[in-house]
Amino acid sequence: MTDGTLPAAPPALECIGLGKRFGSVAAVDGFSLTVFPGELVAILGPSGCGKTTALRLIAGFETPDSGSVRIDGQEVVGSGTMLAPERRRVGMVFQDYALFPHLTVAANVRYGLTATSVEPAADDDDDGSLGARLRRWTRVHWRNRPALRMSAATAARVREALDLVALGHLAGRYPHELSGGEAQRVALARVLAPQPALILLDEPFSNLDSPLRASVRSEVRQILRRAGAAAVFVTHDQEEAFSLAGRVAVMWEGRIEQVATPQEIYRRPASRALAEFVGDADFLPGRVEGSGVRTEVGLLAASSETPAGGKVLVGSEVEVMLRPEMVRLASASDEAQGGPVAEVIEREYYGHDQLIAVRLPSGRTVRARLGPSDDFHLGDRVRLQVTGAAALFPR
Amino acid sequence: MSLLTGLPARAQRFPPRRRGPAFVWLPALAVAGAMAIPLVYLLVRAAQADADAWRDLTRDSTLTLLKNTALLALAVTAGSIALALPTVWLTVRTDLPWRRFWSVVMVLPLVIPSFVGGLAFVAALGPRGSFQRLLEPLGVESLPNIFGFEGAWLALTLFSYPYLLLTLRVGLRGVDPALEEASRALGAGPWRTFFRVVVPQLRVPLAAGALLVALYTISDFGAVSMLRFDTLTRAIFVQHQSSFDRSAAAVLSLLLVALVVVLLTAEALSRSRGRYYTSGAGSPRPPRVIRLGRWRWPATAFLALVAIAALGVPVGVLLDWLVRGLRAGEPFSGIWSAAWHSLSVAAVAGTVAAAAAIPVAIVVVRRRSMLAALVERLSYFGFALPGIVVALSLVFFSLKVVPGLYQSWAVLIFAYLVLFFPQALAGVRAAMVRIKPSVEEAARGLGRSPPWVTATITMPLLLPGLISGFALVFLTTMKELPATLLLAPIEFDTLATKVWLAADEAFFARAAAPALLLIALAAIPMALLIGRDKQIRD
Repeated sequence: MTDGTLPAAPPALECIGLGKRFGSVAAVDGFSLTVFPGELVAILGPSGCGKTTALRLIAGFETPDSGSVRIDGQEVVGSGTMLAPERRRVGMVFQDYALFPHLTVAANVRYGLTATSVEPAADDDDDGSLGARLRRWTRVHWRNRPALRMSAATAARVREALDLVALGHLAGRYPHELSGGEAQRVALARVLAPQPALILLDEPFSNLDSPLRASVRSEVRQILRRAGAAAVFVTHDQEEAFSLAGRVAVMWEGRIEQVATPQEIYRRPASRALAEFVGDADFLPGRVEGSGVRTEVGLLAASSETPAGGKVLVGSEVEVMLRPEMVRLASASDEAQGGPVAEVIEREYYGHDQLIAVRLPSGRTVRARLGPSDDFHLGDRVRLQVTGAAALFPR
Repeated sequence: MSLLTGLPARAQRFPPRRRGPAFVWLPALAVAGAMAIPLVYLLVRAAQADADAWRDLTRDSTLTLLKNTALLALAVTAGSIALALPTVWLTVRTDLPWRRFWSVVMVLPLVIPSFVGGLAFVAALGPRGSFQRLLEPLGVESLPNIFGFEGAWLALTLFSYPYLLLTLRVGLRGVDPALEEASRALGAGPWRTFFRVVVPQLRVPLAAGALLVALYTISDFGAVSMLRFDTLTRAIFVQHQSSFDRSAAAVLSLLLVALVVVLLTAEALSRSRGRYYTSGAGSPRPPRVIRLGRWRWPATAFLALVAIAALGVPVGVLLDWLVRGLRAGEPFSGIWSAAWHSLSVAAVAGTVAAAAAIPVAIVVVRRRSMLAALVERLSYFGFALPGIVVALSLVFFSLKVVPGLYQSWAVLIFAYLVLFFPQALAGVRAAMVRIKPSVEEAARGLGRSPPWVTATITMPLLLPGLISGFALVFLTTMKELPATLLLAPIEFDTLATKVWLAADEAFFARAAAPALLLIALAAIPMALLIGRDKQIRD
């Protein structure tokens, strides 16, 4: 979607300028986001930034004070429109899964099926006369009646949805007999069964233990990809957002600060605060020169634009962001390396990598992420080398 | 909260702030509004009373009634604490033999209506009573006088301590065992730990339970009438029956309501200062079991004594009189139709109360607004109003406002509804709190309209609460006396009124059969409630 051409189908979701206040607090403010069919987008933000409220505005559980929402090209909220949640064709997976405790897995999945969702209606001509509109209204509501009778088509749809999440064998179980990961997949099957235009997931992995989380995460991605559904999920976990989503919208104090691919957000975050939220970052003062930016650790490569889109003028003073992965360390005795000499002041060894903090001659601290075999100790004198292009922020 | 106490729960609320659909709001408002009718109409009626009726308020006899009622409430509350506190501690915290048996047995006196209990004490200890007959061969000529304050105090204590028992049990189980361990680790012995750490933690449930017992006592009409102790309820009844001007009864009722307000205020004050009632977060460990050692036998004897006095004596004495009646050829005329009447009004009252509790529970738990708070307050009105006051007000109301309904089924059921609705609401509300709002939202997200979601998701999940609420209202309606006496249609006798009429003329043998049948029938919903109450079952 980065090439700028709009696909023929309308966006699965289009939010424009959504705003919601609770008392004097603006929970969501000027929230705009477009999601294309088949796309998986994450809304990433610290707790209390309004991301769950944004999701509930889209689903129809909250009424916005301003802005509009279109789903599959149809306006569901806007000036004068406020469609009830049950009429939006949006599936929502709740943080606690919200399975109906008194129904079996199969009955949970069946709950949202209607005559329409099982066997789609043919479009009928509408000449605009009162009679035709009345007929159409009756037909729509008749077709939207709950699938009470277990018709063959309904049964097939339930089976299909359960097969999609590989839980066909648990159809007769009750929710309390399921593990966390199974409950999660039933919740997914339940929203997928009526084939909604859009799926929303609220912190979908926060109720799972961390060893389980990684495997459930990849399962969910595969299920959503197989179903071909457009989905938006909300998370406060940067790793979760980056590993799962094609695009990430970072939300901060009710506003969307940046919408981009995970790579773009990590390497060129829109602000210093975002940079620190989506990973480890150290900042050094620098001065822009013709061929890069001059800092305490040498002349670094840098783009001529700030991530926020501003032009960087030669000679201006800037903040330079260093990710620990950009920093290499070598023993101070290794004259061939060049670079300033610093002292190791902290070491956190994780196993798959390690994080080493060094103090520069100026007293500033910079961190380096090294492989598991590098062996530095507190007090060691080391030389720094920086690779890759650094992101710049105006000072 | 225990389902049996019917105490208003002060549970957490969920945040969504919405108006909600009219199909829930309108019935909720209607129910809450109906609850206010008796008190409002009583005020109207009292305001119309002439100066004479008001002058009665300051008469010595009125002050004596007030003093009697207050003293009795105080004494019964103190007695109930003395019975309930050790019982709870023994059955929850120690290695007492047959702990679960005692847990159930000690709650059972709840099935005995106070007027049946009072009657049994008179039949046992009164002149010509069972005990005297038993002791005659030993040369005992007469027993101490059972009538008056002592008799009423003993009977009410024995039949109302279970209310305190239930609230204290919930409270004691909520105390974090870590606090006791901390106290022991700091060098305090088991007794010091119990009185300095555990008892202070129990202050809030103790105050709530004491309020229940005190309200029960000042509302009681049956026991004080049987044992001939003059309290406000008895005086109101006599005024109502004997005089043409019923204003005096209305003014006395107002005095009784004032006493209720004093009690409620006292409990509220004790609560606002008691901040330190906390049940530990996370998964609490089961508390350490205290070994009784040699003390287990005196402890068992204590519980057995209470159980015999509160259960064994009434049932035994009634059986004794039943046998005497059978020997004397006492006819059991009309007992089956009375039983049928009791069962049917109780079933109707239970059903109506449980059904009415659904919209109110939804509004009270799910909506957060001034109006929802008002609905909640109004719904608990009947909780504190004495039965005789509600009945009297409805007599006035039906005579003046809807004359066609005086002494009709409808008014009788409405009186039960006002009095016992809070108990139904407590059960339904507890079930409602357990339904996560996200479950209902998920159903709407799946394309279902609010009425459909209520019918297919909310209602089935509320079912356990509805059954508990029904059973509780059923039980208390069976036991109710004053409202039934004042409001029942003519010729409509229930087991309660049959016992009352027979006992009023001191025909103990004739009263024994309906009284025993009443206890037996009340035991059915009681068994259901005990089976459902986790606090007792586990």
